[in-house]
Amino acid sequence: MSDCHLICANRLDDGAVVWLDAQYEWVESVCLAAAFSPDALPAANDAAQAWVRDNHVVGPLPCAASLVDGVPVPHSLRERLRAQGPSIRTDLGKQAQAARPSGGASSERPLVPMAAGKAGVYQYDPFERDFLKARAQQFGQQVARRLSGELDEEAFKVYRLMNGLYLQLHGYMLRVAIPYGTLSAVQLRQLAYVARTYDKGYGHLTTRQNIQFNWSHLADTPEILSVLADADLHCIQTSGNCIRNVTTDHFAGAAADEVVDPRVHAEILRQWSTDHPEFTYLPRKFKIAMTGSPKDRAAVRFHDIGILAQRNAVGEVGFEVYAGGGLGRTPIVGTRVRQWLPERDLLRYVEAILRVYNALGRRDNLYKARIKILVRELKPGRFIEMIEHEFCSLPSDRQYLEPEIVQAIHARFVQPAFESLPGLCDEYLAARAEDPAFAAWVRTNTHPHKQPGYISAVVSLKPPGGIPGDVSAEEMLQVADLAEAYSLNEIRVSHEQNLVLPHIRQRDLYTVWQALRAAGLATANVGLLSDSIACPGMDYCSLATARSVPVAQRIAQRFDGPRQREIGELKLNVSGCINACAHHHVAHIGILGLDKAGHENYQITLGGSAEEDAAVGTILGRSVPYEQVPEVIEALIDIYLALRQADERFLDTYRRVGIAPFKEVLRDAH
Amino acid sequence: MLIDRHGLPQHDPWHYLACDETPSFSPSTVVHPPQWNDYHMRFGLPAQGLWLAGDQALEEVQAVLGQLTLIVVEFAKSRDGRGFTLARLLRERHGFTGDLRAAGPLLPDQFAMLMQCGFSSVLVSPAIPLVRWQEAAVAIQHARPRTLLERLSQRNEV
Repeated sequence: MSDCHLICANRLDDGAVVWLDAQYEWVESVCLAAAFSPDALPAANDAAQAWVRDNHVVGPLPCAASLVDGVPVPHSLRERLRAQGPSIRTDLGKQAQAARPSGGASSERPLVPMAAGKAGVYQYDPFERDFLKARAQQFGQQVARRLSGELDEEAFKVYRLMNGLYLQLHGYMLRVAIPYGTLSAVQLRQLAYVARTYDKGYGHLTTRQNIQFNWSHLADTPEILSVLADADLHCIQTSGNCIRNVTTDHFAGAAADEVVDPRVHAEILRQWSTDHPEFTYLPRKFKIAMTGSPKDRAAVRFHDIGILAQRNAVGEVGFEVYAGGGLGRTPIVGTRVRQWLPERDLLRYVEAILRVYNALGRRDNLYKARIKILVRELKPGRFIEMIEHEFCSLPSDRQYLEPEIVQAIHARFVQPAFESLPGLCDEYLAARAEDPAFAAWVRTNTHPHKQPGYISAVVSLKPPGGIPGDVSAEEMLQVADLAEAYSLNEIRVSHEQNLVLPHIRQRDLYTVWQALRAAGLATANVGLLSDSIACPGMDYCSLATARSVPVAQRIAQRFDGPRQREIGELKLNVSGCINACAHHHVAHIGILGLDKAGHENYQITLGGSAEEDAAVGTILGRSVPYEQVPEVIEALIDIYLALRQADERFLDTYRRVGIAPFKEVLRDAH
Repeated sequence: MLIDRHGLPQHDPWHYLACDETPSFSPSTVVHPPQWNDYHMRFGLPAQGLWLAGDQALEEVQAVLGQLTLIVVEFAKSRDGRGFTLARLLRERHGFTGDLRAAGPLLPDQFAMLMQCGFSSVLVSPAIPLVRWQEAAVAIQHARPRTLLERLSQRNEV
């Protein structure tokens, strides 16, 4: 029987994937699912809808399947992955029911010493803590109303998304904000506790400086929010059509080239935008990125608003402002709307941009609702005129960012207790000279610090065969320990899905590296080919059209460490759908997964850049089947190596010779 | 069902004309913008209430705002937030001081934001238990500034 359908849904309270059986009950294994013939399907659908009305399951949908040896096998890869679990983690999901992993091991809820755990993060006061606790309680009530049936899924979804809770392929996914990518050691430990207690022992870092837990139960989420709030963490503004978590440079507060610490203004924007009465129901999500260094490490030109903090000749802070940038199905470099915005006007100007967008952004078409489409339709000149008009028309007493406000917020960031050290440390230089493996790691994974004698180190979460951005609870604890011992309690997360220990004394760096190496966290590949950004793809995401992680893994396998160093800086990102969460458009080599007649195919783009020289990559040609992607990428790299002059990076060679020589690779493949 | 800023149900004396309805005279009539002239000509008096869709350009109705005691702003969906901006503009830019009423499939959890943007009453769906609106109104009374920025800004604006 090939022409049959299964009915698959998620169970409301824990999100588990379930199928309807012949008695119209829900079962947890696809082996027990009923295969409904075309005649039987309408009645089965009705039965499933009755379960929806009873608030037992969410989103039941028929999926085509065949019986193979009496067992139903869904036709689509997506439904097969739901029936199995992630192909990249065969120890998780349905395929692992027999041997449950360590997650779920319960331990005492930690008493979090937020006040004692001094780190250069923003210190919450009792009012701000109460607000987070109240939000967790409020969500608890909303969940109770959903479970009792007072709210249906449609009404509840708004609240669910406002608290970072998505329904994905295998169940609920909870997205926790890491505002401007800054964490203290104490907070990272709390995330480890959440991963162990409520999830399956790991988390996934995203390009928006958030961390996702993939296996949350709806009924647990109010408690998780409360546990997070114990450590001044939350899920506010991680989803929904609001102003999202403001992202910034992962070396913020540490980088030698930094002009303004962008975290202070990012925190101001966070406070301003949290539950903003006017801008919480925008046409679409709204992303702001900010940097305080001339080197753009935050991709600000590809955000709805991108802000570059600068200082003028007399040392005053001001901002260069971009708007209308974005990736997704319509990648656009932002338009510069202001060359110099005085600090005092920051919130007023951002309000003006958002007001124009909220009033005029399209609401008839989800795909055209982003501000980039509005800017394109109005033309940049007209858009700027409208912002400026709105800006001038704001009430004269509205929200000037006075110096004392900036100072007060700045004062809440505990200043790291840097020691006075010489600029270069002899022990560090000696270790570099003696240990080539350490020297190689220093070359790729460290960044100069503004404080003499210090250095920032990137902890790569892209080990060979690993899953980009995945970090286990054990690894979180190891990094938290190192941050406490050697990085003044601070950690950053990067939009490239790595962790950063920002403030290491040069003389401690060798010790830190040895500890990281012992923990498997010292992969020396930052900025190299295997430092790919990859979204979760179809292994987890319900929007994905293809898998992304295994593609990045299989490409990386072809290039060992020395070969990657020989190739040099290369950004290779893999997205599992057109929404471009992995920023493939702005990678030197971008890979986009597509569904082509039921088979995973990948479109390749070349020449993108997210930095000051922002550019959207150019499509190489026809898409390539899953199996052939690694060899095509290898062929592209060979062409680059043959053509490159002197120290050219891949991007430089591409810009010099254009796309034509690279098109050769698609001619040879069949 | 009409509720006030305290989340309490109120008697509603207003007659809300449908878009295609022929106006009948009543001192408490809410008309849609295209019906404004018709009503005025028929009865020699302006209507006292005006119904605005979320995408209404305020320049088009600016001339009559001074004559109104009630403006209803319609939210097409609970997640269509244009009405919040419209309300702020009516209060802040056009100086409207009358009753500003939200209508549409709004949720009690949006009540605080509605009030903050300048609404003074809401036409609510009978499907939602009334007590939820009262709870939302009580929560506002107990609300304190949530962030340092909010406290510092309030001090500045006072």
